[in-house]
Amino acid sequence: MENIGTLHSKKHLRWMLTIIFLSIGFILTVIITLTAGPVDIPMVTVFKILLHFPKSWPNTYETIVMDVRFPRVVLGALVGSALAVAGCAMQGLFRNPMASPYILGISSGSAFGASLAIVLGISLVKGVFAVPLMAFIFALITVFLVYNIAKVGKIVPMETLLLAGIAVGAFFAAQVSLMKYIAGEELRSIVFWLMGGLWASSWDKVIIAFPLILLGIAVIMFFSRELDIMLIGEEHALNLGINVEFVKKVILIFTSLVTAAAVSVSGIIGFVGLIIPHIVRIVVGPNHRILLPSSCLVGAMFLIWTDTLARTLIQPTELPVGIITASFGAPFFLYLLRKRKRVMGW
Amino acid sequence: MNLTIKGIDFYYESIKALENITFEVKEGEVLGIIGPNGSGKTTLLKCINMVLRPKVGAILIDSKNISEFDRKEIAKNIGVVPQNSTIHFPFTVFDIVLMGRMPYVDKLKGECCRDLEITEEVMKITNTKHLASRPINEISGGEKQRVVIARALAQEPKILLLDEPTLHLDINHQIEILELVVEIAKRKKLIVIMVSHDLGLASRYCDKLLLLHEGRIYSVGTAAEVLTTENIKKVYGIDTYLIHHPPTNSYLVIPKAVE
Repeated sequence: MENIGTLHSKKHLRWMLTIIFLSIGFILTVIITLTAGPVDIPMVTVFKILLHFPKSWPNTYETIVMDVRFPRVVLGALVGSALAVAGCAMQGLFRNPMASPYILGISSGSAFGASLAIVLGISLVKGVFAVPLMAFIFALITVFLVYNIAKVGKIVPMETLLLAGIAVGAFFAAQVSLMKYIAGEELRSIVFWLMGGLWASSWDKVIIAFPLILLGIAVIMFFSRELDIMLIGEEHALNLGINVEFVKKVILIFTSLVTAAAVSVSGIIGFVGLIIPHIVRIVVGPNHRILLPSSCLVGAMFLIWTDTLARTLIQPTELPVGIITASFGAPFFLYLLRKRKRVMGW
Repeated sequence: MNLTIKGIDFYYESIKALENITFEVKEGEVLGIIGPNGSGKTTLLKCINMVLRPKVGAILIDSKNISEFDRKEIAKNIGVVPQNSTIHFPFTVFDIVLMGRMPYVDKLKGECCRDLEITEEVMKITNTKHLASRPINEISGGEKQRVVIARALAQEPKILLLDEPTLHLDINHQIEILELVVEIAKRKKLIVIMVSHDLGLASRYCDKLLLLHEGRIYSVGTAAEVLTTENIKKVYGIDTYLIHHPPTNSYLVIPKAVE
């Protein structure tokens, strides 16, 4: 019979190896995808440019890598990890496999904010941030509404929260339809925004999204143990000394923050937040201390790769990344689902 | 150590669920709460654990009022084996038991040696150590119940609450679980309070029984004092034959046919 201490160290070793393996995968993903595009730039050159080696390449290469591809890859990583971690936390909190970062109606809310800016030109700022800022603000307004509608005294029942999210989301979806109806020339912009994508990436967006997403992911990960126990049931969590309502509130606030940040810089990219956590859960198990960081890395890699396909498949133009994420991700997920349904838990 | 329940009333909205509940349990003692559906058994258990907060009355552990404790402190004093312990997710048995250390774990440092030692000890006591790396959703009902008991013990509680610990278990596992609970109570000097539907098992394994009737204590005492045909008639509303089996001190309650 195995010693408990040994079992514990083995588990931690396995977790560490998983993270190292995924981190290597992530770094390779970044370097390889930076080479891809209309101009083929050799991997060695990409490597040298990133590490500021003495210059031995055309100026255009440096511009392409540093100002065009790199911010896009970084933003893809941020958005992918944000959605995957937020989805994972929501599934744990709601104990529902259908939960995604958009479960509280954030997608419709932010879409309404964005379409206000696109169609009516209403925003707090002018220029490139007009649309992202409105999307961000309306995402948070939506969550605030949903949370307060669902609250009963000091308690927030998850079922009520879910239904409130659906209803508020439906309301904003209708307003988005109205905006589309009256959009005229701008219809195309709204539709593009709704499909989501990373074509408008820039370092400015990275700088704004990075601290929000980093903070959110860090806070969510800090509550990994609580999420594990709450996945088993709220009553279990109370019995084990967890302040359930407080944890719920913190997780909801920070998943919303992370999702709002992701959506405001990339539009509504579907699938990542719903399916990546499931795929990772099948492989690493239900323990959030490994599930969250793994989802973070896998989500980042997945979105970088699918975005690379989106921008290279039909050059010189590109596909919306949402089409790729679902077209490639769904069959793979179904394969895993059939093969290892037993370990899913729901 | 003593647990004192002092005059608690509990209301769901405006419906009274518990009224003037007062009793005392000493360390090493196993108290069985019995009574028909809706008599307030589970509500009482949840009040003791402060999951529900009674408006009137107090719950004292050695004269310390636990309504002043935060959840973490309550978890260090009271371990709970809830009624429905179905766990669908493939956490390993070891992971589940380790969760019992939650109230003690420093989140930045993680589980330390002491946490692992206690986990190992309670897994030995509950005979679940050989299951340590098995997924919880793939073991039998009886095994699962032992794992949840191990988790509650990992909290190093002074008080152990069990809600229908033998529900849906076969007789062999029923006996195994209750023997385990009684042994733990005596060995670790715990206060054990368990809700039970099974009058026979409750009379056999509990030192004292507490019979609830419409949210009030109808009778409290030894099985011989509480399980009388008159009490059962009054509380459950049926006539019964009562058979005592002295070797095990079990009372077999056989309902008469309803006319």
